[in-house]
Amino acid sequence: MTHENHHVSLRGYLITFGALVGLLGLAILVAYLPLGRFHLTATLIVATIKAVIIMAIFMHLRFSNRLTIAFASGAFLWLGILITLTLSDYLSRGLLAIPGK
Amino acid sequence: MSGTLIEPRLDPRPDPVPGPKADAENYIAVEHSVKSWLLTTDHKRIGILYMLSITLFFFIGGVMATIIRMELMTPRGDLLRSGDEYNRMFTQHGIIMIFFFLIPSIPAVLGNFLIPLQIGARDLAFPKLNLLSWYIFMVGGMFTLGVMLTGGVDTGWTFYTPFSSMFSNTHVIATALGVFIVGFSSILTGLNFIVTIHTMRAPGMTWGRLPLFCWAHYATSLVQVLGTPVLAVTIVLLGLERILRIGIFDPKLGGDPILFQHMFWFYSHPAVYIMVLPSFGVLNEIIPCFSRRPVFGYKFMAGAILAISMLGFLVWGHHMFVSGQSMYSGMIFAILSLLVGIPSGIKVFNWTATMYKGQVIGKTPMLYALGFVGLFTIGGLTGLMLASLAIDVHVHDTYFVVAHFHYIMVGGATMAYLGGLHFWWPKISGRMYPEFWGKIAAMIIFIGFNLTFFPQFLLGYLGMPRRYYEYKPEFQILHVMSTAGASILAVGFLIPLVYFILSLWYSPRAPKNPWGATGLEWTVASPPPAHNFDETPIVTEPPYNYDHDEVDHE
Amino acid sequence: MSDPAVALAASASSVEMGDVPLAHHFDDPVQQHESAVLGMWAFLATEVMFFGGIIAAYTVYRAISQDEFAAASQRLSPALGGINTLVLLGSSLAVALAVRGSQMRQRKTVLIMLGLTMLLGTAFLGIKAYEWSLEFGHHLAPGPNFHFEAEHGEASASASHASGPLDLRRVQMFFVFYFFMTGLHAFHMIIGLAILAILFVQIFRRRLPATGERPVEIVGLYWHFVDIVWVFLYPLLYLIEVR
Repeated sequence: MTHENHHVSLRGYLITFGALVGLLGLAILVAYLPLGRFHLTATLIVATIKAVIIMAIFMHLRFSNRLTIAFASGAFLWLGILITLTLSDYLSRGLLAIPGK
Repeated sequence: MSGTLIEPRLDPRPDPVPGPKADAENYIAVEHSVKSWLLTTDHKRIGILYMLSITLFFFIGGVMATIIRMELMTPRGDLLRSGDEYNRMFTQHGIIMIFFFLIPSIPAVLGNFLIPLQIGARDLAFPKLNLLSWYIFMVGGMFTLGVMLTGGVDTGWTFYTPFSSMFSNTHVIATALGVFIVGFSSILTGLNFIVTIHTMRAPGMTWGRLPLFCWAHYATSLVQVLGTPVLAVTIVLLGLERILRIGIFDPKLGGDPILFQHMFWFYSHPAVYIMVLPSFGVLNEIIPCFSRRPVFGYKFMAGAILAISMLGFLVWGHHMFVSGQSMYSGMIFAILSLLVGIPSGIKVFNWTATMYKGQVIGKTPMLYALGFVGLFTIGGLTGLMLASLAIDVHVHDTYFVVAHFHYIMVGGATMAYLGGLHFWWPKISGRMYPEFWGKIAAMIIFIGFNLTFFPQFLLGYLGMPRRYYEYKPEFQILHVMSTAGASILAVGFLIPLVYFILSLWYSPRAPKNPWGATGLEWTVASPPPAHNFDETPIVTEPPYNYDHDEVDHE
Repeated sequence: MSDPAVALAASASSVEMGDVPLAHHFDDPVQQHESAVLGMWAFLATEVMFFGGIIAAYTVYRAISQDEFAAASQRLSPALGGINTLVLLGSSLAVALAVRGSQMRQRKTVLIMLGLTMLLGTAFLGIKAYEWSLEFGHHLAPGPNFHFEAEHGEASASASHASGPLDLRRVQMFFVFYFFMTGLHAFHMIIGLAILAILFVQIFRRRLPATGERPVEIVGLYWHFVDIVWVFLYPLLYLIEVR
């Protein structure tokens, strides 16, 4: 790992922070918009962008090897598996005319 | 894997430098005080600590199994005072065997001992965390044992809600806390293995040269790291619901008890692979060695191991076919479950192909390995039956399921653990085990195991439900067979315990490489020196580089 | 480190890392550093799944009771939650600057920034505690004292759903999730603060070199993770539908 050659400048960190604050504002703005059930999608997209920025710059993922990136994204992939397959049960209940199924 | 040190023949040969000089610096002899063991950060010593602890738990769980089988000899409940007591007995048998024996068995004992040796490292990446994991394990274990002595728990090892959260009046929270604690030990072990295998490999030990034992532990660790936390948070939610009555699984409060099953099996199905993947690793070391051939399809073997660990996370719903899970979800889970059969099939065929045209040598570890292949195949194929929706509805919660998972866990994981223990016993203890008794015990275990559990397939298919302590008289003959088998099995498990202990004093000293096996662990003395390698080895050869010519000439 | 060539190469390639003592089982500081970072990331993966279990449960109930979750969420204060997000993002910046300070071998910066991180972290917990006290006061804590009356039009205003009476059990369920998730998050914050405090004292007393970036960086990774959790909790709990 040769990340010592990749110091983020002070300015870089401040810009990052500014971007995060901006996105926070955007998330709140979106929450007030009449988006109905797309609120969740919209706010989650904003949150994901924020998380990616924090991981990439604050947590130096940008300068890490692919292995570390794989671990970081693998965790979220697994969370996706857990949520998707669990939801697949709840959202498809009652689709067949079998009581309790 | 430096070629000069590999003996091409099996016959043990004396150490070139025997005597006290070589002995003085091995990891056992380096210090003798109890403190030096309890505060050790040496991965080999921690492996030994784990070995002693899980042996204790194995025999406690075994006593419970014996009581269960004795109770089931007659159709009426007569040995235990009540059905409640029987419920507690099988629950505790399950919890002890799964969380305190099977899950730590091969990884924490053999994995701890061997991974650094196999990859040419001086220790695991985080030796202190490794010791901490043993202490956490012991705290969780003692906690659970204490609960069992003071009343026990009767929910089954699965802790299904709403029984566990609302109705059971046994020590659910305390037991669940024990499982919660031991989960962290499992996470720490897995984390340590992942980092070690990534960063501590010796020069030249590329991923393509990594022993399949390490591959298997790598995959296992991924499952431990990604699955165990979900169990932990589920247990916390269960505890909250039981204590504060504000939970999320209680139908009275608008909750869904089936959600507990989803979250529980998200860990507990992959946990089956925590138990069985390391066994694959052990087999991949034993079979090439005693067939004198390189493992067939190394890349496919490694790939299959990883594929099983990944697919293992996609199939948990097959435990829930008869619950309120939706039919569509059931169908998805059934299809995904059948996919696990593909990598498992690859493994069985590749083991067979490794032996093909090889010089198969029937030493004790190989007997266990051969037993594993057969029993794992039966267990796996019945698993496919259970993964098929329609059949599962018929045999769900019967002895068919009980037989199936015992074929995987006892016929598979435990046989592989014993096989591995025999295979590496010379390395671990520096002494040979008695070959004659080893073979006898392996045979007794194989016969006893099949006599115990094959009748249970029939029982289940005939409709005998699991977790009942009284049953209809027509099932008795099969139950008696099963109990008879269990007694044989018990004898089979006691014999190795006796001769392993005795071997420490009465057996001949083990040479460096008694089996003529490949692998870096066989290039160091038996038992290994405290710091494993005097100088970091450099790997230049492919794995399992057994001599092809040797077989042709003989 | 017996081989001087290795030692030289290691110290040349990693100026900052050489300040942390090398454990006996590592060959060089680079390997030690890589192991520590990878270990922390693997640990964070377990943390993702730890929070992931509860988030999955949340997702299920939110999917099957959207109106109740939307109505319940309106009793929370998006303003206080937003301020807290800002505070936490600020603490993340501070800890990132502390890591940068350790890379630049500026002991003073490290100490100041670690102190600022702890200050902001404590502020977060304070605001959180204030919020909780408000919610307890409004009988929103689940249990026998739970009390929730749907405000006028609340049920029908929720988008795209046939309006009916709210299932109060599911409204209460939202608060179970709210208190459990924020509680678990606060617990992680407290652990993080404790570790930061230890680190701060160690560096202050010069038991640890401020210039050895490994401990600061590892603790920083954990702190950023706690921040990321909140980045997701905020929209999931506070911003379901604000009016």
